[in-house]
Amino acid sequence: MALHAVLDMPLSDGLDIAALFAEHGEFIANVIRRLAGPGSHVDDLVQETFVVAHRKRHRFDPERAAPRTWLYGIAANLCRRHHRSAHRLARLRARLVTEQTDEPAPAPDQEVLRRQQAAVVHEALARLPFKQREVFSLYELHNLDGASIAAMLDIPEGTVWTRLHHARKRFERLVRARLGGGPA
Amino acid sequence: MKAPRNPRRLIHDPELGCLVRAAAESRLEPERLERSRQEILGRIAEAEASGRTVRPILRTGPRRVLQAAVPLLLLVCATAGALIWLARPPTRMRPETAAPAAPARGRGHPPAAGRDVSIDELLEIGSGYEPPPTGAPRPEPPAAPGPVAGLAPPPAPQPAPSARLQEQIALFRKARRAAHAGDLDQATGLLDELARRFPKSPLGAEARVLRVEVLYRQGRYPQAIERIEPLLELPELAGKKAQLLRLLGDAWLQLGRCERATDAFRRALGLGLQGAEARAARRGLEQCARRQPDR
Repeated sequence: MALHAVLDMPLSDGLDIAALFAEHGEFIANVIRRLAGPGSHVDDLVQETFVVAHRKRHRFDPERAAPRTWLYGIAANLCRRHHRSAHRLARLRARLVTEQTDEPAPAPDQEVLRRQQAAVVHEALARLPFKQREVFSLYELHNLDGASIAAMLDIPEGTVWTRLHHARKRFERLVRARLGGGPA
Repeated sequence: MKAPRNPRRLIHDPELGCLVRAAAESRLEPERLERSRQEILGRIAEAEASGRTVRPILRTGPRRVLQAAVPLLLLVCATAGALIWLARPPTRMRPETAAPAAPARGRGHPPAAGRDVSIDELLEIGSGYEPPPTGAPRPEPPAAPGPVAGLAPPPAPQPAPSARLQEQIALFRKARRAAHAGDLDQATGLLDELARRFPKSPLGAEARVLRVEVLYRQGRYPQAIERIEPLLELPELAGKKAQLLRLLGDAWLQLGRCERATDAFRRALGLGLQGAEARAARRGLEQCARRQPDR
Protein backbone atom coordinates (compact mmCIF):
# COMPACT_ATOMS: atom_id res chain seq x y z
CA MET A 1 0.00 0.00 0.00
CA ALA A 2 1.23 3.46 -0.79
CA LEU A 3 2.57 5.58 2.03
CA HIS A 4 0.11 8.37 1.46
CA ALA A 5 -2.73 5.88 1.65
CA VAL A 6 -1.44 4.58 4.97
CA LEU A 7 -1.10 8.05 6.34
CA ASP A 8 -4.37 9.07 4.70
CA MET A 9 -2.56 12.09 3.36
CA PRO A 10 -2.81 12.68 -0.37
CA LEU A 11 0.44 13.61 -1.99
CA SER A 12 -1.49 15.42 -4.68
CA ASP A 13 -2.47 18.28 -2.41
CA GLY A 14 0.39 20.26 -3.84
CA LEU A 15 -0.55 19.45 -7.47
CA ASP A 16 0.19 22.61 -9.42
CA ILE A 17 -2.41 22.92 -12.14
CA ALA A 18 -0.57 25.79 -13.79
CA ALA A 19 2.55 23.67 -14.06
CA LEU A 20 0.51 20.75 -15.33
CA PHE A 21 -1.03 22.93 -17.98
CA ALA A 22 2.35 24.24 -19.04
CA GLU A 23 3.64 20.68 -19.36
CA HIS A 24 0.66 18.89 -20.88
CA GLY A 25 -1.77 21.59 -21.98
CA GLU A 26 -0.87 21.47 -25.64
CA PHE A 27 -0.98 17.70 -25.80
CA ILE A 28 -4.36 17.57 -24.08
CA ALA A 29 -5.73 20.35 -26.27
CA ASN A 30 -4.69 18.56 -29.45
CA VAL A 31 -6.03 15.25 -28.20
CA ILE A 32 -9.35 16.88 -27.45
CA ARG A 33 -9.34 18.53 -30.83
CA ARG A 34 -8.93 15.16 -32.51
CA LEU A 35 -11.33 13.26 -30.33
CA ALA A 36 -14.09 15.83 -30.29
CA GLY A 37 -13.37 17.52 -33.61
CA PRO A 38 -12.21 21.07 -34.15
CA GLY A 39 -14.27 23.97 -32.88
CA SER A 40 -14.65 26.39 -30.05
CA HIS A 41 -15.88 23.56 -27.82
CA VAL A 42 -12.22 22.41 -27.72
CA ASP A 43 -11.42 25.36 -25.49
CA ASP A 44 -14.33 24.49 -23.22
CA LEU A 45 -13.21 20.89 -22.96
CA VAL A 46 -9.59 21.83 -22.31
CA GLN A 47 -10.62 24.17 -19.53
CA GLU A 48 -13.00 21.63 -18.11
CA THR A 49 -10.30 18.98 -18.12
CA PHE A 50 -7.97 21.02 -15.96
CA VAL A 51 -10.71 22.28 -13.68
CA VAL A 52 -11.85 18.70 -13.13
CA ALA A 53 -8.21 17.74 -12.53
CA HIS A 54 -7.98 20.43 -9.89
CA ARG A 55 -11.25 19.33 -8.30
CA LYS A 56 -10.20 15.68 -8.21
CA ARG A 57 -6.55 16.24 -7.45
CA HIS A 58 -6.87 14.22 -4.26
CA ARG A 59 -7.59 11.14 -6.31
CA PHE A 60 -4.42 11.47 -8.30
CA ASP A 61 -1.99 8.74 -7.38
CA PRO A 62 1.42 9.28 -8.98
CA GLU A 63 2.28 5.63 -8.30
CA ARG A 64 -0.58 4.44 -10.46
CA ALA A 65 -0.39 6.75 -13.44
CA ALA A 66 1.67 9.50 -14.93
CA PRO A 67 0.11 12.97 -14.90
CA ARG A 68 -0.31 12.88 -18.66
CA THR A 69 -2.19 9.57 -18.48
CA TRP A 70 -4.39 10.86 -15.71
CA LEU A 71 -5.17 14.05 -17.59
CA TYR A 72 -5.82 12.08 -20.75
CA GLY A 73 -8.33 9.92 -18.88
CA ILE A 74 -10.23 12.99 -17.75
CA ALA A 75 -10.12 14.55 -21.21
CA ALA A 76 -11.23 11.34 -22.94
CA ASN A 77 -14.17 10.97 -20.56
CA LEU A 78 -15.23 14.52 -21.23
CA CYS A 79 -14.90 13.99 -24.98
CA ARG A 80 -16.90 10.77 -24.80
CA ARG A 81 -19.64 12.54 -22.91
CA HIS A 82 -19.53 15.37 -25.38
CA HIS A 83 -19.71 12.94 -28.28
CA ARG A 84 -22.65 11.03 -26.86
CA SER A 85 -24.91 13.96 -26.48
CA ALA A 86 -26.92 14.64 -29.60
CA HIS A 87 -27.68 18.09 -28.34
CA ARG A 88 -24.04 18.84 -27.90
CA LEU A 89 -23.37 17.50 -31.38
CA ALA A 90 -25.91 19.88 -32.80
CA ARG A 91 -24.21 22.74 -31.01
CA LEU A 92 -20.89 21.45 -32.26
CA ARG A 93 -22.08 21.69 -35.83
CA ALA A 94 -23.32 25.21 -35.25
CA ARG A 95 -20.02 26.17 -33.71
CA LEU A 96 -18.13 24.65 -36.60
CA VAL A 97 -20.06 26.79 -39.00
CA THR A 98 -19.41 29.84 -36.86
CA GLU A 99 -15.75 28.99 -36.60
CA GLN A 100 -15.45 28.61 -40.33
CA THR A 101 -17.04 32.00 -40.86
CA ASP A 102 -14.76 33.52 -38.24
CA GLU A 103 -11.63 32.26 -39.87
CA PRO A 104 -8.89 34.79 -40.43
CA ALA A 105 -8.13 36.32 -43.79
CA PRO A 106 -7.26 33.92 -46.60
CA ALA A 107 -3.87 32.39 -46.12
CA PRO A 108 -1.36 31.56 -48.84
CA ASP A 109 -2.29 28.60 -51.06
CA GLN A 110 -0.06 26.14 -49.24
CA GLU A 111 -1.68 26.93 -45.93
CA VAL A 112 -5.15 26.62 -47.43
CA LEU A 113 -4.29 23.22 -48.85
CA ARG A 114 -2.90 22.08 -45.51
CA ARG A 115 -6.06 23.13 -43.71
CA GLN A 116 -8.22 21.33 -46.23
CA GLN A 117 -6.20 18.16 -45.81
CA ALA A 118 -6.44 18.37 -42.04
CA ALA A 119 -10.19 18.93 -42.35
CA VAL A 120 -10.52 15.73 -44.38
CA VAL A 121 -8.72 13.78 -41.69
CA HIS A 122 -10.78 15.33 -38.91
CA GLU A 123 -13.96 14.57 -40.79
CA ALA A 124 -12.98 10.93 -41.17
CA LEU A 125 -11.88 10.78 -37.55
CA ALA A 126 -15.24 12.05 -36.41
CA ARG A 127 -16.90 9.09 -38.11
CA LEU A 128 -14.76 6.47 -36.38
CA PRO A 129 -16.05 4.77 -33.24
CA PHE A 130 -14.65 6.50 -30.18
CA LYS A 131 -12.34 3.68 -29.13
CA GLN A 132 -10.86 3.40 -32.60
CA ARG A 133 -10.58 7.16 -32.83
CA GLU A 134 -8.61 7.26 -29.59
CA VAL A 135 -6.07 4.72 -30.75
CA PHE A 136 -5.79 6.11 -34.26
CA SER A 137 -5.32 9.64 -33.00
CA LEU A 138 -2.68 8.73 -30.42
CA TYR A 139 -0.73 6.47 -32.75
CA GLU A 140 -0.95 8.25 -36.08
CA LEU A 141 -1.27 11.88 -35.08
CA HIS A 142 0.47 12.05 -31.70
CA ASN A 143 3.19 9.58 -32.63
CA LEU A 144 2.89 7.53 -29.43
CA ASP A 145 3.97 3.89 -29.43
CA GLY A 146 1.74 0.92 -28.68
CA ALA A 147 2.97 0.37 -25.12
CA SER A 148 2.35 4.01 -24.18
CA ILE A 149 -1.13 3.94 -25.65
CA ALA A 150 -1.92 0.69 -23.85
CA ALA A 151 -0.79 2.22 -20.57
CA MET A 152 -2.69 5.42 -21.22
CA LEU A 153 -5.94 3.66 -22.12
CA ASP A 154 -5.42 0.88 -19.58
CA ILE A 155 -5.90 -1.83 -22.18
CA PRO A 156 -3.67 -4.67 -23.44
CA GLU A 157 -1.28 -3.80 -26.21
CA GLY A 158 -2.90 -6.38 -28.47
CA THR A 159 -6.15 -4.51 -28.13
CA VAL A 160 -4.37 -1.37 -29.27
CA TRP A 161 -3.28 -3.08 -32.48
CA THR A 162 -6.69 -4.58 -33.07
CA ARG A 163 -8.38 -1.23 -32.70
CA LEU A 164 -5.74 0.44 -34.85
CA HIS A 165 -6.21 -2.17 -37.56
CA HIS A 166 -9.95 -1.61 -37.73
CA ALA A 167 -9.57 2.14 -37.43
CA ARG A 168 -7.15 2.26 -40.33
CA LYS A 169 -9.36 0.20 -42.57
CA ARG A 170 -12.31 2.41 -41.84
CA PHE A 171 -10.28 5.59 -42.06
CA GLU A 172 -8.88 4.70 -45.47
CA ARG A 173 -12.32 3.84 -46.77
CA LEU A 174 -13.75 7.12 -45.48
CA VAL A 175 -10.92 9.23 -46.85
CA ARG A 176 -11.04 7.58 -50.26
CA ALA A 177 -14.77 8.11 -50.39
CA ARG A 178 -14.31 11.74 -49.37
CA LEU A 179 -11.72 12.31 -52.07
CA GLY A 180 -13.92 10.55 -54.63
CA GLY A 181 -11.86 7.40 -54.87
CA GLY A 182 -14.46 4.87 -53.71
CA PRO A 183 -17.63 4.22 -51.73
CA ALA A 184 -17.90 5.29 -48.08
CA MET B 1 -1.22 -14.01 -37.02
CA LYS B 2 0.38 -11.82 -34.38
CA ALA B 3 0.17 -8.12 -35.09
CA PRO B 4 3.51 -6.42 -35.75
CA ARG B 5 5.07 -4.22 -33.10
CA ASN B 6 4.53 -0.56 -33.82
CA PRO B 7 3.49 -1.01 -37.43
CA ARG B 8 4.44 1.47 -40.07
CA ARG B 9 2.61 4.71 -39.53
CA LEU B 10 0.22 6.16 -42.04
CA ILE B 11 2.22 9.33 -42.11
CA HIS B 12 4.77 7.42 -44.21
CA ASP B 13 2.13 6.16 -46.61
CA PRO B 14 2.70 7.66 -50.06
CA GLU B 15 -0.98 8.20 -50.64
CA LEU B 16 -2.44 9.18 -47.27
CA GLY B 17 0.74 10.43 -45.64
CA CYS B 18 0.30 14.05 -46.66
CA LEU B 19 -3.21 14.14 -45.20
CA VAL B 20 -2.15 12.57 -41.93
CA ARG B 21 0.88 14.82 -41.72
CA ALA B 22 -1.27 17.90 -42.24
CA ALA B 23 -3.59 16.77 -39.47
CA ALA B 24 -0.72 15.84 -37.16
CA GLU B 25 0.96 19.16 -37.65
CA SER B 26 -2.18 21.17 -37.12
CA ARG B 27 -2.11 22.56 -33.60
CA LEU B 28 -4.39 24.59 -31.48
CA GLU B 29 -3.39 28.20 -31.78
CA PRO B 30 -1.12 29.39 -28.92
CA GLU B 31 -3.43 32.32 -28.27
CA ARG B 32 -6.33 29.98 -27.63
CA LEU B 33 -4.17 27.88 -25.34
CA GLU B 34 -3.17 30.96 -23.41
CA ARG B 35 -6.80 32.05 -23.10
CA SER B 36 -7.67 28.60 -21.82
CA ARG B 37 -4.86 28.74 -19.29
CA GLN B 38 -6.02 32.05 -17.92
CA GLU B 39 -9.59 30.86 -17.84
CA ILE B 40 -8.60 27.72 -15.94
CA LEU B 41 -6.59 29.61 -13.36
CA GLY B 42 -9.40 32.12 -12.95
CA ARG B 43 -12.00 29.41 -12.39
CA ILE B 44 -9.80 27.60 -9.91
CA ALA B 45 -9.07 30.77 -7.98
CA GLU B 46 -12.74 31.64 -7.93
CA ALA B 47 -13.69 28.17 -6.74
CA GLU B 48 -11.10 28.19 -3.98
CA ALA B 49 -12.16 31.65 -2.88
CA SER B 50 -15.74 30.50 -2.55
CA GLY B 51 -14.59 27.28 -0.86
CA ARG B 52 -16.61 25.07 -3.17
CA THR B 53 -13.88 22.68 -4.19
CA VAL B 54 -11.72 22.46 -1.15
CA ARG B 55 -11.72 18.72 -0.78
CA PRO B 56 -13.86 15.99 -2.20
CA ILE B 57 -15.93 14.09 0.28
CA LEU B 58 -15.17 10.68 -1.22
CA ARG B 59 -11.44 10.59 -1.11
CA THR B 60 -11.30 6.90 -1.78
CA GLY B 61 -13.24 7.11 -5.00
CA PRO B 62 -16.63 5.76 -6.06
CA ARG B 63 -15.43 2.20 -6.52
CA ARG B 64 -14.33 1.91 -2.90
CA VAL B 65 -17.56 3.51 -1.75
CA LEU B 66 -19.59 1.04 -3.81
CA GLN B 67 -17.56 -1.85 -2.47
CA ALA B 68 -18.48 -0.79 1.02
CA ALA B 69 -22.05 0.24 0.29
CA VAL B 70 -23.25 -2.86 -1.56
CA PRO B 71 -22.65 -5.34 1.28
CA LEU B 72 -24.14 -2.85 3.71
CA LEU B 73 -27.23 -2.52 1.52
CA LEU B 74 -27.54 -6.30 1.25
CA LEU B 75 -27.25 -6.61 5.02
CA VAL B 76 -30.00 -4.04 5.53
CA CYS B 77 -32.23 -5.84 3.01
CA ALA B 78 -31.62 -9.21 4.67
CA THR B 79 -32.38 -7.79 8.10
CA ALA B 80 -35.56 -6.15 6.87
CA GLY B 81 -36.61 -9.40 5.19
CA ALA B 82 -36.00 -11.37 8.37
CA LEU B 83 -38.00 -8.90 10.42
CA ILE B 84 -40.89 -9.05 7.96
CA TRP B 85 -40.73 -12.85 8.01
CA LEU B 86 -40.81 -12.96 11.78
CA ALA B 87 -43.63 -10.45 12.00
CA ARG B 88 -45.86 -12.25 9.51
CA PRO B 89 -49.21 -13.56 10.81
CA PRO B 90 -49.27 -17.33 11.48
CA THR B 91 -50.67 -19.44 8.68
CA ARG B 92 -53.86 -21.21 9.67
CA MET B 93 -54.75 -24.47 7.96
CA ARG B 94 -58.26 -25.65 7.65
CA PRO B 95 -58.29 -29.03 9.33
CA GLU B 96 -60.73 -30.51 6.80
CA THR B 97 -58.50 -29.72 3.88
CA ALA B 98 -55.13 -30.18 5.50
CA ALA B 99 -53.36 -33.47 5.59
CA PRO B 100 -53.88 -35.24 8.88
CA ALA B 101 -51.33 -33.56 10.81
CA ALA B 102 -49.05 -32.61 13.43
CA PRO B 103 -46.99 -33.15 16.42
CA ALA B 104 -49.03 -32.77 19.52
CA ARG B 105 -47.22 -30.06 21.42
CA GLY B 106 -49.11 -30.93 24.54
CA ARG B 107 -52.68 -31.09 25.53
CA GLY B 108 -54.80 -28.28 24.31
CA HIS B 109 -52.86 -27.62 21.09
CA PRO B 110 -54.35 -28.39 17.71
CA PRO B 111 -52.23 -30.52 15.38
CA ALA B 112 -49.91 -28.77 12.98
CA ALA B 113 -49.43 -29.67 9.36
CA GLY B 114 -46.72 -31.99 8.15
CA ARG B 115 -47.11 -35.21 10.17
CA ASP B 116 -49.57 -38.07 10.22
CA VAL B 117 -51.40 -38.29 13.46
CA SER B 118 -53.23 -41.22 14.86
CA ILE B 119 -56.83 -41.14 15.88
CA ASP B 120 -55.82 -41.57 19.46
CA GLU B 121 -53.60 -38.53 19.29
CA LEU B 122 -56.36 -36.57 17.64
CA LEU B 123 -58.81 -37.58 20.29
CA GLU B 124 -56.35 -36.73 23.01
CA ILE B 125 -55.78 -33.37 21.42
CA GLY B 126 -59.46 -32.79 21.01
CA SER B 127 -60.25 -33.70 24.57
CA GLY B 128 -57.87 -31.10 25.91
CA TYR B 129 -58.34 -28.46 23.30
CA GLU B 130 -60.57 -25.65 24.22
CA PRO B 131 -61.66 -22.93 21.87
CA PRO B 132 -60.78 -19.38 22.83
CA PRO B 133 -62.94 -18.01 25.62
CA THR B 134 -66.11 -16.32 24.54
CA GLY B 135 -64.79 -13.05 25.82
CA ALA B 136 -61.84 -13.23 23.45
CA PRO B 137 -61.62 -10.42 20.94
CA ARG B 138 -61.89 -12.75 17.92
CA PRO B 139 -65.49 -12.70 16.69
CA GLU B 140 -67.09 -16.12 16.46
CA PRO B 141 -69.59 -16.84 13.68
CA PRO B 142 -73.14 -17.59 14.76
CA ALA B 143 -73.89 -21.21 15.57
CA ALA B 144 -75.43 -23.22 12.78
CA PRO B 145 -79.09 -24.02 13.33
CA GLY B 146 -79.94 -27.64 13.98
CA PRO B 147 -81.38 -29.78 11.23
CA VAL B 148 -85.12 -29.59 10.78
CA ALA B 149 -86.94 -32.88 10.34
CA GLY B 150 -87.77 -33.50 6.72
CA LEU B 151 -85.73 -30.63 5.45
CA ALA B 152 -82.13 -30.43 4.45
CA PRO B 153 -80.19 -28.19 6.79
CA PRO B 154 -79.77 -24.73 5.29
CA PRO B 155 -76.26 -23.66 4.39
CA ALA B 156 -74.84 -21.97 7.41
CA PRO B 157 -71.74 -19.88 7.91
CA GLN B 158 -68.73 -22.08 8.48
CA PRO B 159 -67.47 -22.11 12.06
CA ALA B 160 -63.86 -21.57 12.94
CA PRO B 161 -61.54 -24.46 12.03
CA SER B 162 -60.74 -25.33 15.64
CA ALA B 163 -64.43 -25.51 16.51
CA ARG B 164 -65.12 -27.67 13.49
CA LEU B 165 -62.35 -30.09 14.41
CA GLN B 166 -63.69 -30.35 17.91
CA GLU B 167 -67.14 -31.04 16.56
CA GLN B 168 -65.82 -33.80 14.31
CA ILE B 169 -63.97 -35.38 17.21
CA ALA B 170 -67.06 -35.23 19.37
CA LEU B 171 -69.15 -36.91 16.70
CA PHE B 172 -66.58 -39.63 16.19
CA ARG B 173 -66.24 -40.32 19.90
CA LYS B 174 -70.00 -40.54 20.28
CA ALA B 175 -70.15 -43.01 17.41
CA ARG B 176 -67.40 -45.11 18.90
CA ARG B 177 -69.03 -45.10 22.32
CA ALA B 178 -72.31 -46.15 20.75
CA ALA B 179 -70.64 -48.97 18.84
CA HIS B 180 -68.92 -50.23 21.97
CA ALA B 181 -72.21 -50.02 23.85
CA GLY B 182 -73.86 -52.12 21.18
CA ASP B 183 -76.04 -49.34 19.78
CA LEU B 184 -74.97 -50.02 16.22
CA ASP B 185 -77.78 -48.07 14.56
CA GLN B 186 -76.92 -44.93 16.49
CA ALA B 187 -73.26 -45.45 15.68
CA THR B 188 -74.11 -45.77 12.00
CA GLY B 189 -76.24 -42.63 12.14
CA LEU B 190 -73.45 -40.66 13.81
CA LEU B 191 -70.92 -41.90 11.26
CA ASP B 192 -73.30 -40.92 8.46
CA GLU B 193 -73.63 -37.46 9.97
CA LEU B 194 -69.87 -37.14 10.28
CA ALA B 195 -69.38 -38.15 6.64
CA ARG B 196 -72.13 -35.83 5.43
CA ARG B 197 -71.14 -32.72 7.36
CA PHE B 198 -67.40 -33.14 7.09
CA PRO B 199 -66.67 -35.00 3.90
CA LYS B 200 -62.99 -34.06 4.04
CA SER B 201 -62.52 -34.66 7.72
CA PRO B 202 -59.10 -35.87 8.89
CA LEU B 203 -61.04 -38.46 10.88
CA GLY B 204 -62.56 -39.83 7.67
CA ALA B 205 -60.32 -42.88 7.40
CA GLU B 206 -60.82 -43.77 11.06
CA ALA B 207 -64.55 -43.31 10.69
CA ARG B 208 -64.54 -45.73 7.76
CA VAL B 209 -62.72 -48.31 9.90
CA LEU B 210 -65.27 -47.87 12.65
CA ARG B 211 -68.06 -48.23 10.12
CA VAL B 212 -66.57 -51.52 8.90
CA GLU B 213 -66.48 -52.78 12.49
CA VAL B 214 -70.10 -51.75 12.94
CA LEU B 215 -71.11 -53.49 9.73
CA TYR B 216 -69.31 -56.62 10.85
CA ARG B 217 -70.96 -56.54 14.21
CA GLN B 218 -74.31 -55.99 12.50
CA GLY B 219 -73.66 -59.17 10.55
CA ARG B 220 -73.51 -57.36 7.24
CA TYR B 221 -70.41 -59.23 6.13
CA PRO B 222 -70.58 -58.63 2.37
CA GLN B 223 -70.87 -54.87 2.95
CA ALA B 224 -68.05 -55.02 5.47
CA ILE B 225 -65.83 -56.89 3.02
CA GLU B 226 -66.72 -54.47 0.26
CA ARG B 227 -65.64 -51.52 2.43
CA ILE B 228 -62.52 -53.11 3.89
CA GLU B 229 -60.75 -53.82 0.62
CA PRO B 230 -60.39 -50.17 -0.46
CA LEU B 231 -59.26 -49.27 3.04
CA LEU B 232 -56.29 -51.61 2.70
CA GLU B 233 -54.85 -49.34 0.05
CA LEU B 234 -55.08 -46.12 2.05
CA PRO B 235 -51.63 -44.93 3.10
CA GLU B 236 -52.98 -43.22 6.20
CA LEU B 237 -54.28 -46.61 7.40
CA ALA B 238 -51.06 -48.48 6.72
CA GLY B 239 -50.53 -48.85 10.46
CA LYS B 240 -53.90 -50.55 10.79
CA LYS B 241 -53.58 -52.81 7.79
CA ALA B 242 -52.95 -55.94 9.87
CA GLN B 243 -56.07 -55.32 12.00
CA LEU B 244 -58.13 -54.68 8.87
CA LEU B 245 -56.89 -57.92 7.32
CA ARG B 246 -57.82 -59.80 10.47
CA LEU B 247 -61.31 -58.28 10.29
CA LEU B 248 -61.48 -59.20 6.61
CA GLY B 249 -60.51 -62.74 7.46
CA ASP B 250 -63.24 -62.90 10.11
CA ALA B 251 -65.81 -61.61 7.59
CA TRP B 252 -64.81 -64.15 4.99
CA LEU B 253 -64.86 -66.87 7.65
CA GLN B 254 -68.40 -65.88 8.63
CA LEU B 255 -69.38 -66.20 4.97
CA GLY B 256 -67.77 -69.64 4.81
CA ARG B 257 -65.04 -68.58 2.37
CA CYS B 258 -62.19 -70.24 4.18
CA GLU B 259 -59.63 -69.95 1.42
CA ARG B 260 -60.05 -66.17 1.41
CA ALA B 261 -60.19 -66.01 5.17
CA THR B 262 -56.99 -68.01 5.46
CA ASP B 263 -55.26 -65.74 3.03
CA ALA B 264 -56.35 -62.66 4.98
CA PHE B 265 -55.33 -64.11 8.32
CA ARG B 266 -51.91 -65.12 7.01
CA ARG B 267 -51.33 -61.66 5.55
CA ALA B 268 -52.39 -60.11 8.85
CA LEU B 269 -50.02 -62.28 10.85
CA GLY B 270 -47.28 -61.61 8.30
CA LEU B 271 -47.63 -57.92 9.00
CA GLY B 272 -46.77 -58.48 12.64
CA LEU B 273 -50.18 -58.64 14.26
CA GLN B 274 -49.73 -58.77 18.02
CA GLY B 275 -51.63 -59.62 21.17
CA ALA B 276 -55.32 -60.41 21.18
CA GLU B 277 -55.61 -59.60 17.51
CA ALA B 278 -52.94 -62.16 16.69
CA ARG B 279 -54.62 -64.76 18.84
CA ALA B 280 -57.95 -64.11 17.11
CA ALA B 281 -56.28 -64.50 13.72
CA ARG B 282 -54.73 -67.82 14.74
CA ARG B 283 -58.09 -69.02 15.99
CA GLY B 284 -59.55 -68.08 12.63
CA LEU B 285 -56.84 -70.05 10.88
CA GLU B 286 -57.56 -73.06 13.09
CA GLN B 287 -61.25 -72.84 12.28
CA CYS B 288 -60.42 -72.69 8.57
CA ALA B 289 -58.13 -75.66 8.96
CA ARG B 290 -60.88 -77.65 10.66
CA ARG B 291 -63.33 -76.78 7.91
CA GLN B 292 -60.85 -77.70 5.20
CA PRO B 293 -59.08 -80.75 6.57
CA ASP B 294 -57.79 -81.76 3.17
CA ARG B 295 -56.01 -78.47 2.55
